[in-house]
Amino acid sequence: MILFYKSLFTSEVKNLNQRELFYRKLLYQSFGNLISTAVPSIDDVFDTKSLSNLEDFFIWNSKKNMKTDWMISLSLIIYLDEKKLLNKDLEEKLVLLACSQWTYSDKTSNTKIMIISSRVRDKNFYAEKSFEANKKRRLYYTKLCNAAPSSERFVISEFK
Amino acid sequence: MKVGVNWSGQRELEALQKVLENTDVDFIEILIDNFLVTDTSTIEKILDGRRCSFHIMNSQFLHSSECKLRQMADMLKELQRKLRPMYISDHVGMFEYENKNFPTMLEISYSEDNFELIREKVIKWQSYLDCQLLLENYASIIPQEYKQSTFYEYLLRDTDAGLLFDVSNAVIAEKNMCQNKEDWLKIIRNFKTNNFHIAGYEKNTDGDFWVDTHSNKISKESYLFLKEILEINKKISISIERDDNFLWEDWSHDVNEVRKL
Repeated sequence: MILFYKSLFTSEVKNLNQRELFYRKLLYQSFGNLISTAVPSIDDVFDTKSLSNLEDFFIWNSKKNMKTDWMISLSLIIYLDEKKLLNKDLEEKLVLLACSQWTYSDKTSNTKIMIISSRVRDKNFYAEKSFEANKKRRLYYTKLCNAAPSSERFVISEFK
Repeated sequence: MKVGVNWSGQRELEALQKVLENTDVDFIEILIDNFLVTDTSTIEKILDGRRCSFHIMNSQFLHSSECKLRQMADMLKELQRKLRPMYISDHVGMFEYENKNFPTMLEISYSEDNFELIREKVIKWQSYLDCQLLLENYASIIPQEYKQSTFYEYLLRDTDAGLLFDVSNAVIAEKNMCQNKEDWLKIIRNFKTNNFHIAGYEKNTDGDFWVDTHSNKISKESYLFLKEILEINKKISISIERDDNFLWEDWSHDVNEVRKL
C-alpha cells in the first residue's frame, strides 16, 4: 500500500499494476469532479477530466509542499497562477470552495471561517457551519472599499 | 432486526424525509461529525421519536493530534449525552501519507509492522470517547499480503473495540479478489457483532474492479451474504446506506427488502 500512497504524489513509482493505475486515476478524478461540480468554469482553463492535468497538479503540490486538505482549491489558485491561467472570477469561486470545504473538514467548535485573498482586494469570503439540522451551511462574501494590502497570499481566520 | 438508514448531511435531507414518511424505519445512523455544532433539538425533530446511532467519517484518528481529538471527543460526548445513540462507529482509514492528503480515505496496510501503531491509536481514540468504538471494515480494492479480517480480529481482541460490519464492503472485497467474505463470519460470531451496514456498489468504468458508491440498489450477492449472517445472529441493527443518486423509492425499496429477510 505504501507504494500506492506514494504514487499519488510522485511520478517516480513505476511498477503499479493495471488495477492500481486505474484506481489512482479514479482518485484523481474524484478531486476533478469536486472542483468541476463546484466551479464549472474551471474547465475553460484546466480540463478536470484530463488525467495528465490532475497528475501534474498533485505532483506539483507535493514538490511545493502545498496543502491538499480542505485548502486544496487555494493550492489550485497558486498552481493556475503560476501557469498564467488564473482570472479573478475563478479565484473568487475557488476561495469560496475552500470556505465550503472547511465547513466539512473542520471538527472543532469553530463555526465560521473568513479567507482574504491578496489578489481579490474588494472582497472577504466566509463560510458558516449550520446550527440547524435542516439548514445548509452558509457561503458568502462581503464587499470592501479600502482593503489593507497584505503580504500573505491568503489570510485565514477561524471563529467560534 | 432493527432496520435503519444513514443521514450524512443536509444535501440528502429531502430524499431521507421521503423515505421516513413512506417506509418503516427503526433508526437513523447520523454521520455525526457533520453535525458537531448542530442544535440537537433540530436533530430530534428529524428523528421524530426514532433511535439514532453515530457514525464518524472524518475523525482521522490515525493522524489527528491529541488536542484535536480530545476537542472532538468532548463535542461527541455532549451529543451522545443528549441523543443517546445505539452505538458510535468510525473508520480505520488513511487520509494522508507523509503530511500529504489523499483525495479520499484509503485503506490501511494490514502488515504486522503497522499493527502496533493502529492498535495504540484505536485505544487512545476510544479512551477519549470514553465508550466502546465500533470499527468498520473497508471495501478493499487492492489485494494485500495480509488479510483485513485477520488484522481486525487481532485489533478487536487487543483494543476491546467492536466491529461495525459492512456486508457489501465484504462482498466488494471478495469481488476484487482481496479476500473471501466468509472469512468474516468467525469474527462476527466470536465478537458478537450486532451492528451492520449494507449499500449498493458499482463496477468502475475503467479496469476490472468494484467500488463502494452507495449510489444504487443493494446487490443479490449482498442480500445472500446478509442471509448467511442472519443465521448467526438475528437480533441485529442494519443501516441501509445511500450517499449518491438519491432516488428515495430505490432507497425505500432496499429498506423493505432487507426487512423481509
